Amino acid sequence: MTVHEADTRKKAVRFRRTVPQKAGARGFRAGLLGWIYVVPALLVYGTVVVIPSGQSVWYSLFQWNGVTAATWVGLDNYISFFTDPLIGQALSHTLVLIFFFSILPIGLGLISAALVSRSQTRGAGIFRSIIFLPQILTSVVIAVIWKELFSSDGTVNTALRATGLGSLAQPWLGSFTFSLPVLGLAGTWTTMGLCMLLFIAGVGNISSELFDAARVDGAGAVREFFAVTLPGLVPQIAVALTLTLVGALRVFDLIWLTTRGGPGTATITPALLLYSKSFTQQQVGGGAAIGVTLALASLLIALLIVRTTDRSSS
Amino acid sequence: MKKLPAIAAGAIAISLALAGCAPGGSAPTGKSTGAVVTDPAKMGKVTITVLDSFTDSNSPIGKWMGDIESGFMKKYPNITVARKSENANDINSTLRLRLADQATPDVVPANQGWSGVGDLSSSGLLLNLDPYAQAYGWDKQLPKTIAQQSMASTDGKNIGQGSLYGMPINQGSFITVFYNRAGLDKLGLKVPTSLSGFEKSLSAAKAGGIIPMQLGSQDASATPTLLALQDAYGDVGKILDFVYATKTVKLSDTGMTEAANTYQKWEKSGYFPTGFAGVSSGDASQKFVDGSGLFYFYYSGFLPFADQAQADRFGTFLLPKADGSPLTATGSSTQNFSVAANSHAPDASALFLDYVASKEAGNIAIKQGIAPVLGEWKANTTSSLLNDGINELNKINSNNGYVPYFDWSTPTMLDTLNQQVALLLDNQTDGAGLVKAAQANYDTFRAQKKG
Repeated sequence: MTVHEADTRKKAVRFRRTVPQKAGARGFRAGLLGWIYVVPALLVYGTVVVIPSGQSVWYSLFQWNGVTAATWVGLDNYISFFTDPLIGQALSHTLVLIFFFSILPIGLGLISAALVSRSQTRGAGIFRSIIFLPQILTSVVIAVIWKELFSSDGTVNTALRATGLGSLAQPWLGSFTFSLPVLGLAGTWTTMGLCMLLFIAGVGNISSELFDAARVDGAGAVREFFAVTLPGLVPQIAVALTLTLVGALRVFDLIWLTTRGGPGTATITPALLLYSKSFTQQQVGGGAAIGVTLALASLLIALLIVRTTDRSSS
Repeated sequence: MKKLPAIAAGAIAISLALAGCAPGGSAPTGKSTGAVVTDPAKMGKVTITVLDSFTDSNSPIGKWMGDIESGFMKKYPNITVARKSENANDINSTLRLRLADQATPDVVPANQGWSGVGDLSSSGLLLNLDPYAQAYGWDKQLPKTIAQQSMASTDGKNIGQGSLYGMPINQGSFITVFYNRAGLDKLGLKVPTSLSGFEKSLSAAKAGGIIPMQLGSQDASATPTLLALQDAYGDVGKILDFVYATKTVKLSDTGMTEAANTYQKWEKSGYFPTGFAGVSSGDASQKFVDGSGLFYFYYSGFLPFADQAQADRFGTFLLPKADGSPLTATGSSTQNFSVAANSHAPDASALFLDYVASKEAGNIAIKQGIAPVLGEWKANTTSSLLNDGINELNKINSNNGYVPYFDWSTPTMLDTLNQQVALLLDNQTDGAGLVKAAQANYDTFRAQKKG
């Protein structure tokens, strides 16, 4: 046996002995370690989110006033939600709010991203911070601001009267026509900053070679936007769409703190119906059914968006 | 990844198992165990928790409650009152859950009507006060129309009859018409003594360039005017029967149609300020107190006067009846208090209820410039506004003319009325439409109660 052969044999034996054993032991220990890191968070998440969600689904199958014994009603609560005389109005208001909370801010965000991709403005950072500011305000603060702005003697009407447009002054939040759009604008004001930031960051990620290629091919601003910017922003649009659509579906505090669903039923939403069912009518099961429906709808929207954008980006 | 569905199924199964079988359980029956004790000396050293909704400690009613707390503890030194004040909305939406807990407050402000006393007593969460009513003599002290406001049947199907579940405080308010004294003088008018006289004053004000009626309906709170008009056109007996469902009465027979039509007529005649639909009732109240508007329909004792001097620039009168019959008015004690069925100190709590309804409590109210509600009082205070209020009180007491708040008739009647009033004042519906919607709300609720 040469020294070389002995070395090779030793190496081979060492290699065979260590790899299978170490992989098994290390794999198990690594898995256990991972679980130990995750379990505390899982416990909190489970107690605060998963278990109450399961309870909500369970309660939605009963007629229950929250205190005394409940009666089993199966899917009756869901049926009565879908046949509620106010549900048509609530859903149509949600569609209007989707335009203001989702479509409009995304559109404005895309326009600002398109402008940024073509030029650099001085002090852009300051403008971006100002536009993003509403995102960090709580809904209570926004409601108070909006109520003051759009009161009959509020800032908007005062400004209109001061500029000679007094005939346009309205009792905004007390008007059957304008109350919902005005509340929608609060949503636009809030989410516009987020969309803009997402898209500007996204534009920064698009390789500048694509922009150069487009310009070399003679593309104008519009063509460049649709050929390069928009496709490159698909993941960001997916995120913005999901967040804003679900936000529009769930909106409660803004409406409750300004108009309570009024005037009449001009600003009711499914979430307000949930509140009325649970607290005014004392039907916890019915309220739970509405909550479960809204949660499932939000989940469906998120899944749809992910599926569509996955297909288009691949 | 393959494990995920299994984990999800496991999590759901666990949460369902933890949720247990059918939620909820049998509630306490609300009956007091054993004999009632009214002698404070026999109660020993005890602390009771009192929950109330008078969060503004600078308002007259907030000061009243503070005086009540200290007055009670001074009178009964062995009993300590631990007082908690919270926003009325928060209390109303969480009260049933808190009452079901063993650590419930002892004395709670259960609202009159279905959404409060009616619902809570039928769930067994409030103590049946009949034994205490007999022991303290409350059944003789309270006028029938006031006692009815806190009564509910033990089978949970009716309010306004059955057993007593709450006591009123000796401080109350009516839906009344405030008027600006200087404004009335400037127009050369006197306080109207008939409904037609009142309407003439409205048109005189408009002609004289003064806003006839202050109003703010943006926060869905424009029902006081409607209810005051209903009292003017309707018969108090029929309204009582409707609210408490003691007889089958049609809403259209309670004066509601005429009331709604008149309300709408006033809007069309331009008696309300421009843009009132976008002004909250709080802002409208402040504007009235600052001098804008001749008349204002509101709850007595609840305008934001800065001091008594400002308050005495205004007076009040109850809206006269359309047919000139004796005055009636929608009114009640400002707050009702009940004892939690789970209370650990029911006797001391009942003693507290007796105190808040006593003459002493009424004197404290007068001291704070607000009107009592039980007993007879002399209109000889230093405040002309309060004297007007006491005169109203004496008239209503002698007529037994307390009308219950109409929205007590079902838990969702207030929402329905608010929505309909908004449509009415925007000319999208009329009196008949409003009555139809409210009647439907009532019929659905009564059908649920029967089944």
